[in-house]
Amino acid sequence: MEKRSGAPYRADMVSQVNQALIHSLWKDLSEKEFDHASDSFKCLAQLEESFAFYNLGDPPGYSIDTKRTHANLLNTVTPSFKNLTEDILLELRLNIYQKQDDPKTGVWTEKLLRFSELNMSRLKTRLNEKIKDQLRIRVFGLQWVCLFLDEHFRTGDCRFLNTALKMQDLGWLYSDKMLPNEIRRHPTHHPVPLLQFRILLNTAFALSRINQRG
Amino acid sequence: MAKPFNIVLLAPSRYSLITICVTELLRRSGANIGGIFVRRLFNPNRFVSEFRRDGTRLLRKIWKKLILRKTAYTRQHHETIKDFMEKEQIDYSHLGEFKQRFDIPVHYCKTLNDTEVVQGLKDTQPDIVVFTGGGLIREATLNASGHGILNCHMGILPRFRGMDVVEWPILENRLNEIGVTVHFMDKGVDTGDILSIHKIPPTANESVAQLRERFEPIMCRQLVRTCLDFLNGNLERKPQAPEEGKQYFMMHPRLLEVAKRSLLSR
Repeated sequence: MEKRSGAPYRADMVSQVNQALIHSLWKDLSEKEFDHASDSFKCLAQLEESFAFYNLGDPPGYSIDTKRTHANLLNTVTPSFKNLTEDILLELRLNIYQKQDDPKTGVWTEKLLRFSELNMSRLKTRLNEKIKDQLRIRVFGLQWVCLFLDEHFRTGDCRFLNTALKMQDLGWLYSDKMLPNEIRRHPTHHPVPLLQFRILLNTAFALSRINQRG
Repeated sequence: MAKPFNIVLLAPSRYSLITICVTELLRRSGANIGGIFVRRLFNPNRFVSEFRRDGTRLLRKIWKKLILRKTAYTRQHHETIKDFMEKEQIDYSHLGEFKQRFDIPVHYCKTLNDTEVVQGLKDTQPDIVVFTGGGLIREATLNASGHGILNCHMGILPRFRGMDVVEWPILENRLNEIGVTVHFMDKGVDTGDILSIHKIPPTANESVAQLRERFEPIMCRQLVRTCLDFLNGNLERKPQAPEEGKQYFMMHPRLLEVAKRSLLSR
């Protein structure tokens, strides 16, 4: 597993740094026009609580297609990394947003949690075997982290936050240091910076909640 | 006169203080120690696989357990494994001394699943095997271990399976669910039948490191007591249902920091 630093984390310091970074990144992102139709990865969906916590104003709304073309994929395949697709990742996230009490969601997330923990150092290789395109691998991985954070909010289970934090330590997948550049580099909204922003925001929010509780 | 119980131990290294204590306590109880299987320390594959799992934490573990050893423990209000050894007058510096003093067979192996280990267990025919660390155990070793392999897990089962289960209950604010469980090992991770549970509530101003230190002598006593109680027919196996608990993984440093602060700020 790639690690950024061996220095101990100071939660209070980290949350202050995050707050400034979040505001500055959101300023950069909100200067661009947001097109709901192009947010096929639901990058900014279900962020009301995190936006309110960091006083970022109203989050862009989102709509869920009731007639999803990929609907009920979860019922057709066995939960496993082998059967995991972008559509399944998205369907799992949408199930969580729609608060559908579908036991399949829990079974899938538990399987994926175990898989990512046991394969953390080989995750890129495993994704490479499945998806050939580098950009798609990154979007896939970022969606996966988003799913874990969403599952943490749904269940309150810190194991999902824990694994999401470990995946954020994978330099090839996520870097909040590179995020300002990635936002500038893309003329319009792109899922890679948007998903990274979502991860940064939700992780900071989740850690703040845990710190307050502690 | 009843035949003494034949017990075999599995050890993570020849310097393991817990294995030394457990072996000596079992020997003093009158049990026959049929052998000790010890994992060889200098094995690049072992280092790589453990580094992959533990990261930089492995280096701290090596420093404490192999280099500092007893000197890593300073005088504390609570009992450490060093105090326990002094109190019980256990003065071995490594497991090889059991061979020198009592002619107990000590076998060194690459992993505890080697064919030599499985064959060694078959030849020894132990009543029970006591695991004091050394990695995952495969079916062949499990099947050659009499009643089975006993492990002392640093968490309350079935709720807290896996790793860092001292810290996880703290993070989840379940301080009354900290403790140790003696259970039989099976193919799963901490999913085997339970024999005994011992809760260890944290004391005021106790840090996670101090709490972990306090666990070690308790684990030794609990493992020996439970093993003998079971062999004497005073304990029954309690099976676990898979859905009763969760498997936890190594805690990320950011959450570890929250758990540490949370325990101290109670």
